[in-house]
Amino acid sequence: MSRAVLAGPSAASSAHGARPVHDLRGAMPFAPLAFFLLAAFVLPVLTVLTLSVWTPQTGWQAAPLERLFTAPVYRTVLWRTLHIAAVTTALSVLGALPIALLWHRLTGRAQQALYLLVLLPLWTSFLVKSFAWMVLLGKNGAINALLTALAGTPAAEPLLFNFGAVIVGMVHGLMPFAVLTMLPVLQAIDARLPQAAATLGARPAEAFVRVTLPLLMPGVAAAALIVFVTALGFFIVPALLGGPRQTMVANVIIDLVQELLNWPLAAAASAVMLALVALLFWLFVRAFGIETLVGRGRVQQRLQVVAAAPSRVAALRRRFWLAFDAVARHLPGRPLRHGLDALTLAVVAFLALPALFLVPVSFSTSGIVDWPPQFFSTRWYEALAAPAWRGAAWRSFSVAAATGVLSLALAYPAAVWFVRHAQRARVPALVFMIAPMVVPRIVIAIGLFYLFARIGLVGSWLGLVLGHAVIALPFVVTTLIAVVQGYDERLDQAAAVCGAAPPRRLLRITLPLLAPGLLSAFLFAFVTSLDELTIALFVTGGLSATLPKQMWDEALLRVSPTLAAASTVLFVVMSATVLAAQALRRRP
Amino acid sequence: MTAATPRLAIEQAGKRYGDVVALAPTSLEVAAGEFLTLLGPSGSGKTTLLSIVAGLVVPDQGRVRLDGRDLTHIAPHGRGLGMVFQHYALFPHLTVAENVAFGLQARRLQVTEVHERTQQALEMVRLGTLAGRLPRELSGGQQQRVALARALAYQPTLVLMDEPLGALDRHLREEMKSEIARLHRELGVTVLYVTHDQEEALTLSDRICLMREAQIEQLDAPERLYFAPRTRFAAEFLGESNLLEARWASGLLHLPALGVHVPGVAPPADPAPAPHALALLRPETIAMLPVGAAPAAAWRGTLQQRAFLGAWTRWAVRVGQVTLTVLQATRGTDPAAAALAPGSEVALFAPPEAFHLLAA
Repeated sequence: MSRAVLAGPSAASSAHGARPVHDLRGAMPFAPLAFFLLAAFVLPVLTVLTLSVWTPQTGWQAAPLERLFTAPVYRTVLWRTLHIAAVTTALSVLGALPIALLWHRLTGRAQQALYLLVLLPLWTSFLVKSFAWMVLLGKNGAINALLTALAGTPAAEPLLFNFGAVIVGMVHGLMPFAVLTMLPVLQAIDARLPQAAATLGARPAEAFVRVTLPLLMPGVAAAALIVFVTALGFFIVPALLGGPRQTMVANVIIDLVQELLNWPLAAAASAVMLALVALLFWLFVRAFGIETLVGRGRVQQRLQVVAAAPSRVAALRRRFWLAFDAVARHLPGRPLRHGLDALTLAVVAFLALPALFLVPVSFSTSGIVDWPPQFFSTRWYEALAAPAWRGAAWRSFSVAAATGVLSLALAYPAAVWFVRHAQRARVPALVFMIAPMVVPRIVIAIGLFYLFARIGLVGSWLGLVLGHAVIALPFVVTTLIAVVQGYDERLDQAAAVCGAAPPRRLLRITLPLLAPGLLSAFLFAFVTSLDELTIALFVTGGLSATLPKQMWDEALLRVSPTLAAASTVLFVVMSATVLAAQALRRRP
Repeated sequence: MTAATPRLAIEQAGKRYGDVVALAPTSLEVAAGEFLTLLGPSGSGKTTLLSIVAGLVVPDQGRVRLDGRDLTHIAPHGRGLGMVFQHYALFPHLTVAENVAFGLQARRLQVTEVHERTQQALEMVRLGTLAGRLPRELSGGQQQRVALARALAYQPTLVLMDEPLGALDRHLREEMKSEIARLHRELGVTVLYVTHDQEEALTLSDRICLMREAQIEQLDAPERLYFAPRTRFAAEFLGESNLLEARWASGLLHLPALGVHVPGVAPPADPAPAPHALALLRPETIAMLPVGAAPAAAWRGTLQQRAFLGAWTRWAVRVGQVTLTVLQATRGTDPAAAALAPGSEVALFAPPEAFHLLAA
């Protein structure tokens, strides 16, 4: 009798029915991360969304949303936020494009140096960067000192606390993100395509406009998206570099929650911001696919779908490059290229230099942040020894370390599952895991504040770690996915065939090979937490500040050289960590 | 000076990267309408040479002339060449027609003319119906055709091809080989072709330029290169070969390892190698016979190994102190072949004209 007959139809159907069970068991490594994100990310965000239309006291209500769109003060803030974000996006992308192209053209050490010149500003705290601009743009700041030295008088108008200062600060803060978003797309463009265009008779400008630029468009769009949605949630730069007329939505939300205790209105503003962000991401993913955002995958394939434009678009495109070409043909090629290179390097200097101005200020003897500083004193570093600063530093470093450990513990099994077993669940799983990167931080922060207040976690060390882990996880997960993907599973199999049991395989083969990647992911989580202010702003109580929170509180009172000293310390620690993480990442 | 200016003249072109010589100073001329192949193992300098002609690599020294015009310091887009890239390098965001039209548009032709000539080029490679597709929607063979059409659409006088068939499977490769041969024949275009595949080189070329370690090893017609290689490398790179130590004196070839003398062998082309030389004996020029039926001059050997290759069967036969490779057309179900088992005695015979002498 055959086995099929023995087993009978019921066994066959149960075997069929067993598949989902098997799938669920297979997804076990993903479960801890999923539960964590559901509790510490999805729940708070949903809570905020709910509060915009329903509160236990009032029941259902549309008033907050209505008020947001009708009260002139809030409408102004909404429009202003969009305006500032749009200008920031345009300038950031425009500045990032030549840097990305220069990076693409360079090779070896020069390329690596340029990369670091973009990477370090990226990881420099927004607080530190803003302080630097205060030193540069202040009434007695470096730029006015320079103007006085050159022209005899300082600038007629104040350089600080206006629209221009906010834009400068935001572009400075966000342009590195635009550059780093473009690089993978640029790198994925086959280097032989411009060469092929050249052999077909296209001059460099033409080859760039007709081949390189269209292929880079998804990267440009991704950069614009990242910058725009990040800019929407900004509050540090407008608060420190802007005046009352530069107040943005996030500043209003902070005020509403912390000063006015108007939760429904704060929630409504968050909901509007979240809806806008979600809409933009949805449009982007439909057009270019999600891979462009996480810097991997087959960007080109997605692109080709977009590029399959109808012939009318093709005709327009052709007319555009003909017009461009007519202009380009009359431009002096070489001087123009040198001019562009010089301009690009100026933009790089704009990114890399400002933070360095804090270093001399931190050694000033004077108590006022003036330029040039009066040398030489270490009193501001000694001031950092005060209990408030020491406590904040200790809290920051211990929270950062715990955040690194927690996010690694959650993300590693999930990354292994994602690479090896996720299959059809890949795209939704990826969207879920990187969602905390997409949702404005301020929304997560007030959601956590609301929930933590109910379970006594506000002001606690644990609350901070949980909140920071939410923020750090997308970075850690994407890093670990790359690490696990780069690991050849057959090495494990080879070790098994050689007779090594699982613990030996883990200790002798897997861990030694993965260690640099794991450490690099840990360090990125560490710096993310160390730099984090939004969550800390709400989750820390009055007496349990982190380093950025302490700096923020101090900055709202007055900008002192103590801040410059703290910034210098933070800058050095962050740079060293990022460089270490980068060195580990590059190791084969 | 010859009557006609060569289409392409490379004069002492050389390139090094630091200490690495990518191409030793090399000279080469390609006649109008000729199909010349640069053949060699990887790292032999063939792609560097091609890139120098295309203008993608600037040589440290030497010149490149096309129809007498000095191209050395002209950018790729000003050279007016056609090039088929390895893996094609089709523009992924442009349709088949837009890819083919690219070079025509770069030449500022009228829209109607661009359209006409694009259509012609597509018909020429039999892709007229796929004009609106994107490259990724095409098979490998079709992509290859688009790459050919793109390089030929503006009728360049010289077309460069860099391993154009490398990415195709065996069947498609055969098909595209005859396609390329047909286009070369019909259009009368001059082709400089790079490959590491000897079959491709032998089938397509008027002349083959065999390269080794960044310089030219031998430049000759395919038959000459195959039957009259000048060096051991050339003899071993193409086809299968038996290379035997030999001494030639006054019409008598002495093969010490076999312990035989062969009369009537032509003297070496280059007189230098005598008295010590190598004798090349292609495996398919050796006749293998039953011991009884052999002529008196035949050598005795013992069968060691048999490898069935389909149309051919390869034998390893021990003769004297050496093992010779012998290729025989497979003789179907011939009962005589069945008797040839390893260990059996056979007679081998090679006519004097089968031997080619080269420098040791």
